[in-house]
Amino acid sequence: MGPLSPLKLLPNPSCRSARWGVYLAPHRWFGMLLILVLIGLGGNACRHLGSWARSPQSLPPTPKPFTQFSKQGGIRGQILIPSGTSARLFVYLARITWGPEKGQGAYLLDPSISPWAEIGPDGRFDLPMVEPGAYIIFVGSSPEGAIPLQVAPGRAYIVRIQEGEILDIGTWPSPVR
Amino acid sequence: MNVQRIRVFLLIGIISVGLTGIAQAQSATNQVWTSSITYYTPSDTPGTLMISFYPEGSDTPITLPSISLAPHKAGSLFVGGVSELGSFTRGSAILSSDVPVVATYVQFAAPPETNNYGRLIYSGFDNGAPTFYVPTFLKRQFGSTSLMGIQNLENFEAEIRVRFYAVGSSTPTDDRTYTVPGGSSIIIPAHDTSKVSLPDGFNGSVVIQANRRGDSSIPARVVASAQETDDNGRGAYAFEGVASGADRIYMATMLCNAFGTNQTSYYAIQNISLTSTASVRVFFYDTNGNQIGQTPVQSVGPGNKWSVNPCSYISSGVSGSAVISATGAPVVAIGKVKDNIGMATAFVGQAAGGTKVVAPYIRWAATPTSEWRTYVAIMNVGTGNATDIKVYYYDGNGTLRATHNVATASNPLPPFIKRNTNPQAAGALDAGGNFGFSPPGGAIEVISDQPVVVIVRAQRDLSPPLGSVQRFAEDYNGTIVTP
Repeated sequence: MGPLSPLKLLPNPSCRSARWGVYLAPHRWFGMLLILVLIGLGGNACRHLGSWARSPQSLPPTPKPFTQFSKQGGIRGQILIPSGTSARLFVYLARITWGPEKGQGAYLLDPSISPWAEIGPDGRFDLPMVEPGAYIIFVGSSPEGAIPLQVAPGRAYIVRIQEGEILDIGTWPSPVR
Repeated sequence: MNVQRIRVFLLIGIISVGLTGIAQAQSATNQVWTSSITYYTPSDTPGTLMISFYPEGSDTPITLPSISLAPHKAGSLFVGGVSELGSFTRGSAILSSDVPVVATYVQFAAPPETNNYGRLIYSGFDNGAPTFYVPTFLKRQFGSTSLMGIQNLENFEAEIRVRFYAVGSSTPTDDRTYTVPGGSSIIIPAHDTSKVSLPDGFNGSVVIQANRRGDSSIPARVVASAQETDDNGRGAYAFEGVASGADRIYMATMLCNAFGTNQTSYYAIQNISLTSTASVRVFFYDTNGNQIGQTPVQSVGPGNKWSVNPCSYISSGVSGSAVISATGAPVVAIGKVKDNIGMATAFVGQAAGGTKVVAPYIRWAATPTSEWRTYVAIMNVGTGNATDIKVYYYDGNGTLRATHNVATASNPLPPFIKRNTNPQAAGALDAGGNFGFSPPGGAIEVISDQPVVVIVRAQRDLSPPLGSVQRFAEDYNGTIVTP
């Protein structure tokens, strides 16, 4: 239960490379311009909020806004897949919609509208283009069999993705056995 | 816009309530469950699916992002309640669409126990009724305990009267009225004394009646579903409540010690009249077109139920179908299947068939231990031979992957007899030997020249076994749609 390594906004240098991944893919010429801007901003452009030193029961830190080059955010991390797992595993992000009554929300996961990515052989996943918002992370070989990451039994790990930032959730044990 | 609404009642989130004083290493009754919905549109034109989620006890829906439906798209979605702090909460959902949609609800154990328990599956409702029946309800009986959910489909507050009848009694053991906001739901675990007072060992049935709060002259439409979970085991299954009875009920699955694992079906038959006695008889058929047995006529009192084990009337090792016949009062029926390697399933007996039946949750894993496989039983409930039954397999993109000719003029399916199909037999598998996983989603349409009823078995084998449990399985009913 809970992460094995700290949650953070992308520290240098991986943050930069991830951002390039975001921006270079659709518009290479703009990406090159962006690289120059990032170099100009230096390491400060990609803040590292530090380690998640709290207990796994606590909520993850809320990233601060970053200069908005995009309306999108991103998320990456690593899921430790148990040895012997033969099925392909995927990460799905279920967007949370908050209701009019305080504290009540509902999540929706549908692969046709929810961001998803296959988990690599090393357990890593990368979702660079995600609408800002609150999400629950599911892991599974298919959507209907996916299991949410939890910070405690019955309590989902909620991530809040913001514009222009890529969130690294660190390393988590796989909820799929 | 012609919005056709389907109703999917969800028993979402934490439904575990500890059984005080009973130590259990494994207990499906004490398990925490979560859920997903599989859906399919049989439409030839695209549409949009909209979802409203009602937190338990709330009449204020949370409207979720809409989903585009390609023609014949099959998909899966998770919907559930969550608090700001991440706690999962219960509720119900209404799915609406401008094209026909059918949906099936799939519930599975929350992590880390997801793969250690079976799945519960039932079909969504396309409408409700002021009266609903649940043919079986247990409290620590036969090793199982029931949980029932009732959803108010109206936009006004409803008084929902629920009567629990023990077998052999025409006087309810518990009779109480719940007030439920419009669109919202109530969940009644048999062992939750704040919701219902039943003795341990209760074995009975339930009658539900609803009206507008404070005005008994205005009926309120509700839907109901139920699940039964092992108190000291891993078995779990779910089924829909039934809105009306009939004098003839079709059971597409009838088993007596079949398939080498002693798979046996048990029928719970409820007389839904509260005033008249029903005279009930069950007829059993094999897959070769023969009637192979029948029960004597059994009197079933008002509101009461009768349990039938086919093995009392036919030989062992048989797989087939059955027809329940009643006079004097209408009945409803639930079928349960159990075996000696741990599987436990449930499905609803059907009063009528259709010439177009859809099943939205169809899968086939290349290896039976890696994921789920589905097997489909199709029973002809018409008056003549079915000479043209085709099963169309669609994937998650809405692409037709295979067509299986289940009955033809040269190979007809006689009345009351069943025949099977699955993605492998149909030739719907991809290069990896799978169906329904990539792209996510898979469904079938059964098109027949005679009305048919369809039962889908989903199962997964366990390797290594979990103690004595080597297989999880569950059944659900196909949904009749307008051709």
